[in-house]
Amino acid sequence: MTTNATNRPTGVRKALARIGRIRLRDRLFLASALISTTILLLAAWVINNQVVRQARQQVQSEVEGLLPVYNSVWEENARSLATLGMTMANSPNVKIIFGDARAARDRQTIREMIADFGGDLAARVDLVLITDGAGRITFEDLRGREETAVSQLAAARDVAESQRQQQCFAILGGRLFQLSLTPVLLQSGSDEYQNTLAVLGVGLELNRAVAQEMSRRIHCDVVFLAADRIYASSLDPAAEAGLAQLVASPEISRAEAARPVEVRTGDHLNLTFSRQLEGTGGQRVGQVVVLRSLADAGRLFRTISNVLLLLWTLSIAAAFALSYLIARRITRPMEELVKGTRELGSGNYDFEIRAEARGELGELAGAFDQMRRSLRQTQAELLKRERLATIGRMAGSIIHDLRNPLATISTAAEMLARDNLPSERRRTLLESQLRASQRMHEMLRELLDFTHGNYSLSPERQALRQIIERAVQEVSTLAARTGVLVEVNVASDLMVKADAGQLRRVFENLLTNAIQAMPGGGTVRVQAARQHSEVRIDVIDSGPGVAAEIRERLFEPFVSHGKLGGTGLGLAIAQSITEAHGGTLRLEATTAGADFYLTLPLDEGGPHADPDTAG
Amino acid sequence: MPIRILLVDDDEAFRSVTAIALESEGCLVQEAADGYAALEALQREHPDVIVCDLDMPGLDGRELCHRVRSNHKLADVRFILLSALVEPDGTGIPPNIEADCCLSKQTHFTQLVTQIESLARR
Repeated sequence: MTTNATNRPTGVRKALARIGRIRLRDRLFLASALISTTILLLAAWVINNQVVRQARQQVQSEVEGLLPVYNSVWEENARSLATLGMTMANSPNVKIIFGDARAARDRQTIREMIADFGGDLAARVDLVLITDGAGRITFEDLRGREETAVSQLAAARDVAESQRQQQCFAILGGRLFQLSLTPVLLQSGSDEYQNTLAVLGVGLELNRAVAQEMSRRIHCDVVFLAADRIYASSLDPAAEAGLAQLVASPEISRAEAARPVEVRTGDHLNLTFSRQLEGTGGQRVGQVVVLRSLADAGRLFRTISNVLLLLWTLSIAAAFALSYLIARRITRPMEELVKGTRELGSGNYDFEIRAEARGELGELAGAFDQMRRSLRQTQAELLKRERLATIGRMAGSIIHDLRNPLATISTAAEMLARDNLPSERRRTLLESQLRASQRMHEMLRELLDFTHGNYSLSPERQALRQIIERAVQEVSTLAARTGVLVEVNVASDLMVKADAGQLRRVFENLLTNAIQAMPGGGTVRVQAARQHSEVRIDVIDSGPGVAAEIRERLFEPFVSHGKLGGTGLGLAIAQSITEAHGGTLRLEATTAGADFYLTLPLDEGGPHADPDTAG
Repeated sequence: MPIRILLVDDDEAFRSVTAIALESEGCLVQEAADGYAALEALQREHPDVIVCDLDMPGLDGRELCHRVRSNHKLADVRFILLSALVEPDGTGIPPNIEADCCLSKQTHFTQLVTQIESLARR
């Protein structure tokens, strides 16, 4: 359980770390590609939901607006047929013919009668039929086609009985017609009663031409259904074949509701409404279906989708190009800056950044260069100040140490000028003057030696212990007075090639330093240990140790405060002398007391000098 | 009654000359080569004024002054510090010293005597 709990975050962290390692350019590219993809998907969604729906709604309202036009087309047809029928039925010539029973049965007579109505009639109707009062068809003219197999028309009998013109749809001989049935009436003697001589029917076949004409006027496709098949439509034959399933579709019955419905035909959606084609008794004869394709909306969506896809491709390309350019503009100067920072870190203050960056990076590069220049200047100033400080310390030290002998000399001179001094005192004064001037001379020589670095070494094979013991002897008075115990633990067989006087001075300086550091008394230990071809000598005191702030600069001239030889050069001189002997002088890092240690090369070849005879 | 002075300085030449100069002005001078020698002398003697060098190896003037001040038996002893780092006009006097005054080593001995006398008379 615990491992599971810890494993997952590790995996996540690893994944995050991997993302973190992706280069800036790729990160920029991924981010902008993600953003543009999201935006475009969102746009596609919005367009599909808003624009396409709006387009669909627009089509729907258009279709709804078509209903009156649709109705008026039918009414117009019906009116035209009715007028035609009425004109014929009311024509005296017609009445005469139908009044004469023999003439009414003579097809030739009737054909001539129809011909009298001229080309107008021929152009406007597809069917002319005549029935007797019982609805038996006595004549029909199907404009050159075969006759219908129907001999009886129930609707005609209704018209004959009601003596009123009627409009209806009918299938005659498998053909679908819009019919106008008009009774031909003959006024009998009395005013109230009229005889129905015949029923005159004019009809318009609901064929492809009608469908196309209607389609042209209502800007929709029109399909006539009859006897459970497509009778005619304004569609091209291929599309019509695709509509086959429409006949049985349950949506078609719903499409008779007030609002249009969506019907899928083949591969696209249509907005559909339909109306029944009724016979005189209100019975269903057929159906007219009006289809408005939603392909436009679909096409709009596809067009927009294509545009969006193009935009997406472009934006991805732009994102790639942009992130490459940005990355180049950012990372190039960055790399330069990193290089500059490294150079600066390693102490090169002269490395100029060659970044031609503009904007923030340019400012950064400029600021960096400014910083570099000011650092260089500061560094130079620091060095100068350091030199000045050294000079200042040196001057202070020299002034301090020369004032004592100078004051001595001048006071002594003043006293010597007096007459009443005893000769013994006179001598003391003169001796003091001499000592003071000798001291000044000595100090100046030391200073000069140090600045020139010449120590006039005359190295000889020496026993180390002997040199150290002499140095201890030199400081014994000061040590005794201060209460400091000096312990020496150096083997007598350690031989070095050294200038005894100078090396003794090194130990004198170190010992004096140690003693002065312990005004309340303590211990100084001097111990030596062989290390390969070298000897390491430690001078360890039990004093307060070296203050941290001067630890690093301890061996610089005039830093250590004291009166070593009077010049503040004690440790600096000791180090110079040690180095002149091919050794080193360092301060060991300790927590208590101070541990100065020096290493010197051992002189192991040649005859051994007897330390006892030298001591 | 001559003024008794304890003169402390590690510079023997300066000490000898100054002692002769002060004695010629009528003072009674006792010498000490450093702070430890001064403390030893103070166990036997009771000077009116201590004239002490500020910068000495081991026990320096500041520390000696502090020890004298902490010793109630020496409460009436005046303390004058001399320093090579102090200018004749008084600049360079180190802060927090417990001495009665701090003078430059360049101070003329007659002025030093004047100072000693005015302090001793207080």
